Amino acid sequence: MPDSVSYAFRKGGFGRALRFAILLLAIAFPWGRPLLATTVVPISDAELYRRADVIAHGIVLSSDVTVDDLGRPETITFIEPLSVLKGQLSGSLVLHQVGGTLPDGRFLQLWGRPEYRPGHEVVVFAIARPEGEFQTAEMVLGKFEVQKDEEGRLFAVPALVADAPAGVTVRRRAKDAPGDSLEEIRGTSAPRHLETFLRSLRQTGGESVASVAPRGALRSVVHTEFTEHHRIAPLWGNISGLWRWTNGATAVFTIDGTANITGGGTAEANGSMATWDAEPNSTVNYSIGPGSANLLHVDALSSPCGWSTCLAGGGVIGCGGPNGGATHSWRGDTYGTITGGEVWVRSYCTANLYGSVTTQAVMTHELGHTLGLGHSDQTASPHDVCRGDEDAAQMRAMVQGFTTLGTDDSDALRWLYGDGGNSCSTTSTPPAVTTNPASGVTQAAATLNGSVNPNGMGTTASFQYGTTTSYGYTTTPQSVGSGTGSVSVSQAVSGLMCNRLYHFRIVATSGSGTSLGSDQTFTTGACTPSAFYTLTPCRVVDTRNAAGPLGGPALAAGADRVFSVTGQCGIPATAKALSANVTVTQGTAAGDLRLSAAGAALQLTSSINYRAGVTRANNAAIPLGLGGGFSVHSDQTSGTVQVIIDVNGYFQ
Amino acid sequence: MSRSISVRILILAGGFALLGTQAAQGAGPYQFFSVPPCRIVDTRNPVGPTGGPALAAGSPRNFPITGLCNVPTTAKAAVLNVTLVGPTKDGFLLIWPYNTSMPTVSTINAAAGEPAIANGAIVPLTSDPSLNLSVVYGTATPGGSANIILDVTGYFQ
Repeated sequence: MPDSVSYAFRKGGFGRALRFAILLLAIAFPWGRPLLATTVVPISDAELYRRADVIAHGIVLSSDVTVDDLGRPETITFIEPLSVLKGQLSGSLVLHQVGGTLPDGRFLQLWGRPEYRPGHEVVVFAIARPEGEFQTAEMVLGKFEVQKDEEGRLFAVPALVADAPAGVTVRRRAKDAPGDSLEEIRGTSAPRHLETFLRSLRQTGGESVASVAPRGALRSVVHTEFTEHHRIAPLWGNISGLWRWTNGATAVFTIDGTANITGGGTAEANGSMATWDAEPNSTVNYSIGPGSANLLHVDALSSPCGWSTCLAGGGVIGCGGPNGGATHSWRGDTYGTITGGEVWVRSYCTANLYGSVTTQAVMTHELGHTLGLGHSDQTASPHDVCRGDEDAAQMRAMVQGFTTLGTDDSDALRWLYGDGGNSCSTTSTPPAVTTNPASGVTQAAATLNGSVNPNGMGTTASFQYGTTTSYGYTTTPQSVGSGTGSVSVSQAVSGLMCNRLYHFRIVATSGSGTSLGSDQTFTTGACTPSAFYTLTPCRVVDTRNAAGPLGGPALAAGADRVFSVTGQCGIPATAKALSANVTVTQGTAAGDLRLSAAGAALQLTSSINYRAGVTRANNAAIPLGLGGGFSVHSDQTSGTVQVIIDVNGYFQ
Repeated sequence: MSRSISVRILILAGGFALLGTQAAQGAGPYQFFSVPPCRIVDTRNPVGPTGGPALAAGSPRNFPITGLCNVPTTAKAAVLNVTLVGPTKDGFLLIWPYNTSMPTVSTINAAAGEPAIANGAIVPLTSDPSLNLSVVYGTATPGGSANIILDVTGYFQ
């Protein structure tokens, strides 16, 4: 940093103005290194005049630290000009200076950086920045502090001397070694008699400064009316809480003072209202109308924000904010309710020298405050997850050159009033899933358990299962709704192999993504072999018989029919499967039969196929399920078929 | 069974060599394990180990059984329902343990154009890691094809 300071002081003027040197023992750096020494070479008033684009005598309105494009602390100073000595200003003189201490403690300190204190009267030599607005010429050298001696005479004192921190010694060297070109310009570091100094700058470009010595101690001139409450743009986000309107509120703003503004005002007010109104996530309906609940003062001669007189500098400034209670906003954490709002806008005394866009941008910004929004580039909210768009927001502390909202403005509204979403996160949170241990594990079946939090999105859940962690089987997805709480999910699986380790996990899918639960395992029950027992061949089912559990009617197309056969034909209740002969006859259409254990899922297997009208028979081993029964399913597309089942043995 | 079933026994046509001469041997005793009915083979499906293509007459195909449909690799015999689908010629289906001699007993006999005809069968399995049984569709005259479906309902071991 010393290098950069030194460079800034020397550039452009080292050779020509090298007449006089002041040696400073400078300032401790913030990280507490030993004192460093820097040599600074001031330049003449004439040289300063030549380099400056604007020279103004004025009063410091505010000097606040924010963050520049590179993320460094940057101090922005507003100076209300009392007179402009070179160049032109429309409105306040706005100075940018790298460095300063942010509210969160981050800081960047540069020696040689001019310090501006609100209320102080200064003479500033300013250079226009390529990106707009100004910076102090030659850092501290371009600033003069207006001070008063004991006789009440005003002097412009070089800030180098006037603002030198306590403990810093400023020494003059009258002459350097022979042959050196250093030669003192009389009075370069001395206080200038203000009136003479200003006239010199205005008339002769800074030449021939008359020498008037101050008498007694010099004290800075402070305009106390500016030292408190004066903000070009008040930090509502930091003032006694932050607010929002009741959702769905209708806020009618009444324009006040339109008669005294030239260049309009009404159109701009309507435009700024419409901008916020059109934001789809704002439930607040802003409009212009009668009444006095919410006032938009288009030509406020004074405001609670500080100004109380006609602003000689011209331009547009404003302030605004909500009335109401409770706490917090976009820049805070929680929120309450806003019951009203008021905006004060001030342009030049007799004419609005700023264009329509700037005027509307100021109104839009101030109305944003009444919505409960703080400055985009001052303080950060944990809800402001999209970063980097703060400078494009209307709610930036500096007025914008456009009237549309930025993404940061919209995100703030979405959080305060809308869906809580933002411009940089395209998806919300996928479902949260937990796989729980299986229950009801038997030889061939189990109930898989888990829970799903849909996180607000419509979600379906299923289980993947199999004998490896590749799974391979998936249950039918079921809906678990779109809530924000945990929902239990249980699904039965059957057809499992006995005495096998199975893996499973829950799977939940919503529009926000698919979540996979952790793996759980269970082991099916031991395999139990069955022995074969013969039976005297016996007809156990014949649908041609009278209607009954093991008789008619004929099996209809597509129908499932369960036959409970234990206790019949000598089949014991302990039988696990039947050895049978399955016969079909009188089928009215071609088809096939599917036989499975009662209560088990219908499988894609057939036991017999047939054409219409034929009689066919086939052997089958039929598993028995619930109630000692089996199920017969007809795959005919229409009509009926008679089914006859003869048993010749069983397994148990 | 109260209904007569018309069965035509076809003479095994020439073209099949008898691959072995070993005498039939008994093994056991084995116990029965029921499994949920499950389709192992369907040659109407896309080409694959348990899928297509259809059986061409006279060309044996080998299929895996164990490790599928809950039939363990230790199974000694499968309880199957064998379905012959759409045979294009009068013919028959042989099914026997993989890597053993082709038998001379048929499992299904079917006439040309039969949509589907099934029969239950208990088939011994060869203890091979990947293939357990073989099938062949035989016809009385050259040519022809048929699809086959194997559903399992249990096994012995």
